[in-house]
Amino acid sequence: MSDVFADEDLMRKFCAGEAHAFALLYARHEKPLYRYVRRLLGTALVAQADEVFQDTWMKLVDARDSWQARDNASFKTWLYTLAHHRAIDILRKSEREVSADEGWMDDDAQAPWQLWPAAIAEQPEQQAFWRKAGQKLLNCLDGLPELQRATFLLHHDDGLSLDEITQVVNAEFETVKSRLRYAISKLRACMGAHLQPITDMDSTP
Amino acid sequence: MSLHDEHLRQALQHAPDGELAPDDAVRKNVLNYAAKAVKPKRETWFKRLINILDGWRVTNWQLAGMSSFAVALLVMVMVREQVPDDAIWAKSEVKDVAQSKAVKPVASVPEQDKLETRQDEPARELDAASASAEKAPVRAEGMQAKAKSSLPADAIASKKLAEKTEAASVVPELADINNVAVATKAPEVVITASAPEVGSKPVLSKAAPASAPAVSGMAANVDPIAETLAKEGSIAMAKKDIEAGNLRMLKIIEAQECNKTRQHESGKQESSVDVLTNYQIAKIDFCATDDKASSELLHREVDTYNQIMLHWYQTHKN
Repeated sequence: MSDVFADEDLMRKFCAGEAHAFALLYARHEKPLYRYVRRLLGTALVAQADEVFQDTWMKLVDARDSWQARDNASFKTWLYTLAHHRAIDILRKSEREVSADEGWMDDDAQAPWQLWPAAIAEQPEQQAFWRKAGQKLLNCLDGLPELQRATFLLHHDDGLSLDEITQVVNAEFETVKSRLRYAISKLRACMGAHLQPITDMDSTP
Repeated sequence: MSLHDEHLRQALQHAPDGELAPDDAVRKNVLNYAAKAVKPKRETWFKRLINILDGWRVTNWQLAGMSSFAVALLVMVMVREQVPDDAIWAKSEVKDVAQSKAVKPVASVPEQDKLETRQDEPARELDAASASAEKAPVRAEGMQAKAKSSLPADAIASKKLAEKTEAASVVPELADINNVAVATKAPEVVITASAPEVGSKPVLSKAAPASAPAVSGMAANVDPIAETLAKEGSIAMAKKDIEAGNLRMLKIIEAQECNKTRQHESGKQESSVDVLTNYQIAKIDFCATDDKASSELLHREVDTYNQIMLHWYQTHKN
């Protein structure tokens, strides 16, 4: 039933006083948002993920009238904007923020990816590979500057467009594009250096 | 370079934290917070009023128009209808006039004395006196009403007791005299009640005249009439005189020195006549050296006696 209504419809119902609409919204976005917060905060600050997550929703409840005032505003964009700013606040307080534009581009690092299997996890071996790759990716994400990390996560995990990301992180389109490019390049290099291609694994005795 | 890497996305989807969820307590807190935020609050009447007024969105011109209309309505009502306060004042003025008229008889008694002393005054004074006398019953009625309303409880009890003791011997016609006496004395009851040296009961009491102890204090210089007044009281004495046909008015001849009063006795026999009633005036020699209370009481008794006689005259002059 919750899929029948768009996020914005549910949010409007909630603003009109229907608490159950909020429960549906929460259920729909609970896990993705929590994942985003955890991954953005990184391993060092993961303990504060619950706090940031809770603050984000409470802020959303308190500021529901301001959302209502903005016509045609995307609920998801607004939700991730609140979460992003709260998480960045925590990161800044912990002095772990790294310059967003800091980075390097190593074209050679892309080489191992050419040998990786297709991004499909139908076979058990493939699933195991990608699970291992996932864990490795989380480790690699910790090495990225926060804003590159945020841009990558919003684009690859949460499916936001570049335009939407510009709203969430409050940055220019080209800046976002640049950050994303840097993030992908670094992650590829990080992943290729530590994760053997599945063909190599198979050939290993 | 593409901005979307399917391999990285696949790795991200299979990451071990993919299915993690916040703590149950966090979920509960958030949902409760949201439910509480949209829970309808019970608004007070004042807040509702504010909301209604807030919702009106009246412009300044509308506000000015409404204010003008309200003022115009108020002015119209004030013009058409008498302002309540004025009406109240008008009523109170009427009351004051009525009261001042009703109180006047007390002051008219000394006026009678003046009339008596000036027997050879022109006829216009006689007319004035008779006019005053005509008004007397009306005033007496007013005073009676006032007396009833202001009479203290002990005065009323005293009156009832007096009526019981005298009822058997009083001629039916004299019942009116009782009323008049009480009525004429009533304002004085109010006054004397607040005066400790006089007391309220003696003035009205017929069984035990108030003036008795006070006047008896005058010792050897007491006039026989004053003595009778002191013993019997003005009301009883007036009744007796009326029954005996001894219609007269009393007048006090007061002297500062008792010896002079004695000397004045020679002139006492010279009778004079009251110009209004044509009754004989009996003079009472009174020596009030320093007993002012006795003098005051005697004057009251005499006034009461004269009032009764005056009333008798007015009711029986034809």
